[in-house]
Amino acid sequence: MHEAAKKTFRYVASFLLIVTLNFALPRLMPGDPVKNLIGEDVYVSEAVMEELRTEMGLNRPLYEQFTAYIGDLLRFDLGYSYHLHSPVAEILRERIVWTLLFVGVSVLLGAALGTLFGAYAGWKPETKANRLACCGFIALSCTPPYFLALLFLEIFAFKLGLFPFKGFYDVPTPGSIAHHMFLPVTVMALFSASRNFLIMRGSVIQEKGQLYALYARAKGLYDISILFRHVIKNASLPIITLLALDFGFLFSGALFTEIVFSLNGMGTLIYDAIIGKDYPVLQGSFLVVALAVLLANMLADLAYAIADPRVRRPA
Amino acid sequence: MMQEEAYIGENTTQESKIRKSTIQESIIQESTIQENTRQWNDFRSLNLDLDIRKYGKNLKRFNRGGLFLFTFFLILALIPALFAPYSPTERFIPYEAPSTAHLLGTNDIGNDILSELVYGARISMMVGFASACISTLIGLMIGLLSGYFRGTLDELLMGFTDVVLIIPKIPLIIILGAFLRPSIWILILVLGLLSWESIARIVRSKTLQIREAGYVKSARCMGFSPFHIMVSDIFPNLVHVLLPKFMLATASAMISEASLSFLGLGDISMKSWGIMLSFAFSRGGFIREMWWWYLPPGVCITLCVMSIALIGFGFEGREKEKRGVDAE
Amino acid sequence: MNTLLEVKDLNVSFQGNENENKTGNKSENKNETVTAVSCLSISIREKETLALVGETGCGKSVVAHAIMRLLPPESIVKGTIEFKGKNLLKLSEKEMAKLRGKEISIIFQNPSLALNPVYSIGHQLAEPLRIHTQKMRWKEKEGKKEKVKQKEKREKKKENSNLSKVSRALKRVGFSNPREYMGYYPSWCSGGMNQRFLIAASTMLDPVLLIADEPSKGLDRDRVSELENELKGLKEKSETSLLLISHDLGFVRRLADRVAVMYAGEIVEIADPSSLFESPLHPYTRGLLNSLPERGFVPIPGASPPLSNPPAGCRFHPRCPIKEKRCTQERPELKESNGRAVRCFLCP
Repeated sequence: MHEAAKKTFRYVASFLLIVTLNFALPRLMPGDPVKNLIGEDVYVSEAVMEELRTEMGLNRPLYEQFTAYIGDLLRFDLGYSYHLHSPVAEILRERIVWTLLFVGVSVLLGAALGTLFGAYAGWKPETKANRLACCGFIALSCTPPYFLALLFLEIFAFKLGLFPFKGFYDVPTPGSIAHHMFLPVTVMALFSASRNFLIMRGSVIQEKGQLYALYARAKGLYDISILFRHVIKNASLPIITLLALDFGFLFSGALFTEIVFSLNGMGTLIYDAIIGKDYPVLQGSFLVVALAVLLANMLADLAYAIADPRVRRPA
Repeated sequence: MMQEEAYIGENTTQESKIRKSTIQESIIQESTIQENTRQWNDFRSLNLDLDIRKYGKNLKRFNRGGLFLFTFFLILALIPALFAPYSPTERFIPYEAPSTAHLLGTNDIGNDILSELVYGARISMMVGFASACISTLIGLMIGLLSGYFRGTLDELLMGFTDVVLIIPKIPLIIILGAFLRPSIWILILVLGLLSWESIARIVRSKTLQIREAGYVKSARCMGFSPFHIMVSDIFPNLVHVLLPKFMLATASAMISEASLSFLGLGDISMKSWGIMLSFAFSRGGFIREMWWWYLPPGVCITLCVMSIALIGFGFEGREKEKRGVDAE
Repeated sequence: MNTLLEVKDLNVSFQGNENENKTGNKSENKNETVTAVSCLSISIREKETLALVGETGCGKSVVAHAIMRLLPPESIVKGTIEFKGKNLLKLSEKEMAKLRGKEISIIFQNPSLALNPVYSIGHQLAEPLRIHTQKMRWKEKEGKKEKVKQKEKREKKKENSNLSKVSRALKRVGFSNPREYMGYYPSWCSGGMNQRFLIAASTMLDPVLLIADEPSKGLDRDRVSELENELKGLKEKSETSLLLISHDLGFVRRLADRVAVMYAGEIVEIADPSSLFESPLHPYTRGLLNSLPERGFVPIPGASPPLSNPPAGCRFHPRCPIKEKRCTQERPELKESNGRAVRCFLCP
């Protein structure tokens, strides 16, 4: 129980840190906090600025601002984007569905691909094909995701014309969505697979030297079934934790892929916000992404506890 | 995010093994199991485990290729004038296709792309190495302190590390980059300050091992100050753990830099490969299908990152070999 | 009685790699070969218990692994291992897999490591049943196609019968409420319990040959005598032959029908336990017996030679109290006389 309490405490601390960062950044950063809070390129007169300053309570003491901020958060009020003329929470809600769909599909696909190939490559690391796969996946993992996306876009959409090059759909039918999503999902899945592949490979190489693998052979299991019936479960336990940690990384990878493929998700939102200096949107996005990653980590810890009997031991 | 080393497989495994093992530590109490493990490992190291060594050899081969590539990029970065036909700021006719005068053509404002590419090596690698230096230094200090003093300090520092580990790095860097004026030094600082967690963890676990070694104990008995022990007795034994971590941190910092530059958060006055790529995308190189503009910087990033990562792997593989497979 | 297993001139060596030796100079030790077992010949008859004793690292476990063909592919195994008239070394990996667990079973020396930590005891114990009955089912399937529903039903039935077999096997090794233990995981149980799980798993299919690799290692006294009773019961109840590998001489004496003493990868003496323990012939055996606590605790001087570089002549000569010049130069052969065999020039 002690361990669980510690974990919970850490998650709470992470949550607080994220929220505090989000609160503190616009107030700490150089420049006028009002500008930092409403966005740079918005033109407003001095009088309006003053008005906003009092409205946002920027001349009140910090702790009052903080409690007000927390209160806003609890009401899902993430501020107002003066660029897009709409509340940030609303904009985010529209966008995040697509990004989550996109990231979710890619993470699962990537995990499945990477785990399977990685397990096989770790099982027989000496074969030519596996060595080649290892080189390939190392190269993939060293490529910035957006460059990979650019290459795919160039080759498959522009040169070969197999896939559309922008948007989520022409008409909102599953077929059209799948057609549009194929390339970006492939890119992200490959990217995520490359990481899982390397981890799984190392993990299997380590696990297959364990005695239980030898004992499985002694029981009469034949070669590859040792991998699938015994080694793979042990080796993929660390993957659960890593998948969660990776979730954040993949999330940001997804942002870049979205930009390249002009998908209207969080990525393009953030990109436009950077260009337009739309700070409220940026902050809101950061908060949402950070919370999503936090949630994923919590889920992974739970999943780990369920999957690994060593963690749950009867009293 | 786990930008730091996560895209590099092996050590992440170790990382999570460490994570896993902290859970297990509290659970597996029977000393018999440890005893059995030891005996089995003795048996294994006597004769059964040849395959991991083979795997290590494999990595060494990678390492040689990596070393070669890395030297190449390093020379580019150190003496770009030798390879670049023009100054990167010199202007010619814009949007030219490759020719004998301009091997990789020219970009939107007429700069020679090959020259830009050569000069970009220095900036990309500098960002990578400088921020890796910062993160290694922070990680080393936190890991050493928490591993050496243990107790409450350890709990606090490691708790803090765990908390930081969860925060997604790239979005945070994006926000910071957006608020601050883009500058290469700020980029280095931010990247360095946000990627020390995994180094701290590994240094801590290593320090915990080393502090129980005989020579450290005797140094303590002789009354040397903790600082002296950490610097002269423990640190030298950490170098071989730090080196691969350092390389991998460099590799990931380079990728982060390229990604941030792509978002327009890089320093435009210092054209790294990432910024070249970003400009090629945003200023028409991609639409005009000028592959000689956007392909070379991308390939350079990939190759350079890969060479550094491979060297990191190589160090790690050799370490594993030297200490025997079971030392980890 | 018929001979069940006949091992002739077994040689096992491992191709050493660079950097392998932790002590030596790297360049010196490049590609040395470690010969773990040399010219080993033993035979086990049906229902017989043969014990293999010797110091740690003399190659006992390697013999066991060689018989099961569990050694890593990098090892070089020469000689013949005949089991029921078939040379195991010539069998394909698939054929070998069919034998493993069904005809030949092994109990490893580290029960807590040999069980997979992430599967329940019940699941792991039922595994041999599942593996070796599944193959038969494939054959059945070739003839007639079953409907899916029927198949599912059959599988469920099979699983149930498997479970009841497992619980019976667990009862046999002394668990009074096996159903509860089947839901346990190895890390929740003690080493002794895991040991019994392993024995249950390995004997479930009534193998013809059971190899017990240091079964008493790491167990306390009470557990060892329990284990002894279990193995004794096994011998009485079933047709199983037992290859018992141990360095616990008392344990061996009470269980074995014949004892083979190994030193540095070789057999130095084979005899029945009473004559071996009362009148040992080989100086190593004598030394071994003298080092027992009840016989004065006198250790043999020196240490076992490294297997990568064994001494010339008799391998025991550097530590032998009665060595002659001949012992340092020529290698003695295993001489047989009235039911005993010994590898020494100086013994009759």
